[in-house]
Amino acid sequence: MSATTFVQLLLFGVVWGGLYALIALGLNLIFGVMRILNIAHGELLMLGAYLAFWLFTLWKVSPLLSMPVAAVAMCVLGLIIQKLLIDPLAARSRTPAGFENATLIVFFGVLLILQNVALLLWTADYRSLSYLSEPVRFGDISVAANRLVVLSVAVVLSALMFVLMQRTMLGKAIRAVSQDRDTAKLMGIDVKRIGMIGFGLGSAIAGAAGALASTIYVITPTVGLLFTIKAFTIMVVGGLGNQFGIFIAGLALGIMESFASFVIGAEFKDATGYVLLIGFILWRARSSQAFAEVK
Amino acid sequence: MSEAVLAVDGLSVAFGGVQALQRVTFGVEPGRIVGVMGPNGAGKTTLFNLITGVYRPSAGVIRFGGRELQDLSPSRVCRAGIARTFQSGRPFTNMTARENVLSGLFYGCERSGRAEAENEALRLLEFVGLARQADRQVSSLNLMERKIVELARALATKPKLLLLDELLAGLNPSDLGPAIGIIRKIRDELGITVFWIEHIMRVLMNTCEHLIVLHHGEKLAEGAPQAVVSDPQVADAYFGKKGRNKLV
Amino acid sequence: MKSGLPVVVSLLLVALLATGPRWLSPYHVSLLMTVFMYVALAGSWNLFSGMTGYVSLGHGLFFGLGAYSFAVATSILKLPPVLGLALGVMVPGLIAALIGLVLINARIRVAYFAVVMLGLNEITKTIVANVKAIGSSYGLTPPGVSSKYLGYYVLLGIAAAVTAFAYGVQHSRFGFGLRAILADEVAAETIGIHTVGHKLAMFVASAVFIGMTGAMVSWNWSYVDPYMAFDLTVSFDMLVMAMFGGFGTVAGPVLGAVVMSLVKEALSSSWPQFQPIIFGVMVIVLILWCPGGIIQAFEMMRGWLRPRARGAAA
Repeated sequence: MSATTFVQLLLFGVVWGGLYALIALGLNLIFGVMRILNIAHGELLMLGAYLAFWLFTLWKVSPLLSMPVAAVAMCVLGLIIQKLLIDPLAARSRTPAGFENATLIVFFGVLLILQNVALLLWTADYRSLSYLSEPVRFGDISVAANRLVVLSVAVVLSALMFVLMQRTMLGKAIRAVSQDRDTAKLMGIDVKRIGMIGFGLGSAIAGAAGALASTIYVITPTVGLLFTIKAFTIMVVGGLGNQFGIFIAGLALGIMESFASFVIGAEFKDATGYVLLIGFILWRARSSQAFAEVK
Repeated sequence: MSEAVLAVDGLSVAFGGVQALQRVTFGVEPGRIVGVMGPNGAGKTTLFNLITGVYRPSAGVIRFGGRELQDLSPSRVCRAGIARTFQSGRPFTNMTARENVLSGLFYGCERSGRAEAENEALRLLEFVGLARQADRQVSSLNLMERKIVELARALATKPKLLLLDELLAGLNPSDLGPAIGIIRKIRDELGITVFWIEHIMRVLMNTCEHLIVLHHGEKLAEGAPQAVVSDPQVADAYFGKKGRNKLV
Repeated sequence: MKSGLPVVVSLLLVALLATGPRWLSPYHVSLLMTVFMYVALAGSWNLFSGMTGYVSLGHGLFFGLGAYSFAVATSILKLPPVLGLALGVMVPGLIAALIGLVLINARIRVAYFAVVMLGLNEITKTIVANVKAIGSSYGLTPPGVSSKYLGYYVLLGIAAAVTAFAYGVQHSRFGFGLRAILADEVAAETIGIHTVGHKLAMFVASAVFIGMTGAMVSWNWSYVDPYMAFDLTVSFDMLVMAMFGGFGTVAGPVLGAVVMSLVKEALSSSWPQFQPIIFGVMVIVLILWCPGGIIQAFEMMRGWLRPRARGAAA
C-alpha cells in the first residue's frame, strides 16, 4: 500500500468516523437522560437526509442550510415521540427492566412505521444529491470538498456538545441525571425537563447528521438502521457517558471500516464494526461482575 | 476455636475507582448467629454480593467448607450451601408463596422430586408461620410476608450458611419479635449458621454471639457484641467523637 | 393438576386441520399455511423472549439461516430436500448456540441484547447479499415440493410442535426456573438456578423451530433471497403477533398469530407498506394499554364478570 493510499484511506475513515461519532453522541445523550436505547435514532437521521435532499432538489437549498431545519424538525418529532409514547410508559412501568423492554418494543414499532412511511412517500429508489463534490487536492491526496465539509461540521458540532456538557450548567445537570437520576432529583434538578432537553437535542443531532450524510451517501428509507447499530457500537466501546471516548471510538470505527473496505471489499465493511462490538462485549465480560447490572 | 465454616481473607473489590472493600478478613464459626454492622456505604451488601458470587473480588479469598468460592457463579455458590436474602425483599412476584418455596427446593442443594417437594414446602411454610398464605400470590402480600417468603425460599435450598441482608428493614415494630424468633429457630432447630447484616444495634446485641463492624470498606472491629460496641473506634464511626458515650 | 380440556381441544383441532387439504379450497389451504407459519414463528419467538424476558429484535435471523441452509443444501450442494430440512434445523441451532455462548454467557443487559440481535440480522443480510457463491442479491431457487400439500402438513406439524413444546416447558421444572428468571434473574441465580443454561436452552430451541420453518418456506416457494429471508418485518411480525396474543403464555402466540396473520392477509391487497405501519401502530397501542395482549384482556374481562375478591385467605 502506498503512502498516498494510506493517507487517503485514513482521511476517508476520519470523515465517516467524525459523522459516526456525532450520531453516537446524540444516542448517548438520549440514553443518559432517559435510560432508554432509541433504536429508531437512525430513522430520524434518514428523515433528516430526505429533508435535505428534497430541499436541495426542489428549491436548491444547500444541505448546510438544511441542517438546522432538519435539526429542528427532528427535535420536534423526537419530542412528540417522547410525550406520546415514552412518558406514559415511564409512568406505567413497575420495574426498570419492564420499562426497558417496553421502550425497546415501542421504538421498534416507531422504526418500522417511519421506514415504511418513507417507503410509501418516496419509494425505495436510491436518491443522492451532488453538492460540493469537486475534489480538493493536497499534493497527491485528493478528497471531495463535501467530505471535508462533513468532517469539519461533525468535529465542530461534537466540540460544541463537549463544551455544552462540560462548561454549562445545563450540561452539568444533564451529566448529573445521566450518572444518578435519583440523586439528581434530590438535588433539585428537574429531571423531566432535562429528559425532554436531552431527547430533543439528541434527536436534533440525528436530523442534522442526516442532512450532512445526504451529501456523501445514498439515501433510501432503510439507510437508518445500520447507522443506529454503528452508533450503538461506538457508544458501548467508547463508554456510556464518556463523550471523549465515544468520539475516539467513532473515529476508530470509521478508520477501521475504511481500511477493511480496501482489504476485504466495500460490501463487507459494515461487518467490521459488528465484529468490533462482539469482540468488545467478550472482552468486557471478563470484568469483576457476574451481572452487567446489579440492584 | 472451632473450624470456621466461612473464612474470608484479604477480600478487596473496587468499582470504577471506588474501593468498596479493602482487605477484609474474618471467620464465621458454625452454628452461630454472626452480625454485620456498619454505617451506610460501609460495604456490607457488597460483602454479601462477593460471597454469593454476584461480584468477583479483585483480590482475596473466600473459603467455605474447604472450597474457594470467589470464582464461582451465584448458582454454584448456592449449591455449595450458601443462601441469602436481599435488603428489599425479592421473592418471585409472579408466583404464590408455595411456588416460591418450591423453586428453592427444586433448584437448591436438595433438588427434590415433585411429591416430596410439595410436602417439604408446606413444612417450611409452617416453620416460618406462613402456612395459611401458601397459595396467595406474592404480589398480594405485605412487606413482612414477602420477606418471610423470601426467607423460606432461601431455607428451601437447604443451606449450611444463611446470609440475611437487613431482614428487619421496613418492618413494623410489632413484626420484629416474630422475625427475630424465626432467625433464632433457624439456628437452633435447623442448625444453620446465620450471617446477618442489620442496622438495629439493640437486636444484633441481643441475638448475635459475634459481631463484625465494617466502615469505609474495611473491617473496623470484630468480637463479642459487648466488646465491639464499647470499642471507641466503633463509636467514632457511628456517632463521631462527641457521641462516644451514646452507645449502650 | 389443571384440567386436560385445553390439551384435548388442541389435539382435536390439529387432527381436524390435518384433514384440511381434503375439503378446503386451494386458496384456504394456502392461507392456512401462512397462518401455520406465523404460529410457528410467534410461538418460537415466545419460547425465548416470552419465557426469559429477553426481547430479541432480530430473531428473524434464524428464519433466514434456515431458509438459506435449505436453499444452499439443495441447489448448490445438490443434497436431497430432507437433508436440506435437517440442515435448516442444525445450522440455525448451531449458530444460536454460538451466539448464545457469547452473548448470554457475557450476561449483557436486555437492551444491548436486543440491539445486538437486530444488528446481527442486518449484518447477515448485507453479507449474504454480497456473497456470490450463494447467489448474492439475486437469491437462490431450490427445487420445489414434490407433493402439493407437503408444505401444509410440515408447517402444521411445526406449529403444533412449537405449541406442544411451549406447553411442556411451562408445566415442567425447567419452566419453573424460567418463571423465576422472568421474575428476578439475580434472585433466581442465588437459589441455584443456572440462568445462563436456561436462557441458552430456550434460545437454541427457538432458533431450531424457526430455522425449520424457514427451510420449509424456502422449499415451498422454491425461492429465497437475502431481502426476503432476513427481512426486518419477519422479526417484527413474530414479535407483534406473540405480544398481541399474550407475552409469555402458551396460547397467546397462537391466538395472536392467527388473528394477526389474517389481518396481514387482508391488508396485503392494498399497498404492502401499510401492513408494517399498521402493525407498528398496533404494537405501540398494545404496549401502552394492554401489554399482556389478548390473554390479559381476557383475564381483565373475567375479572369484571366475576367480581370475587382474589387471593382471599381461606
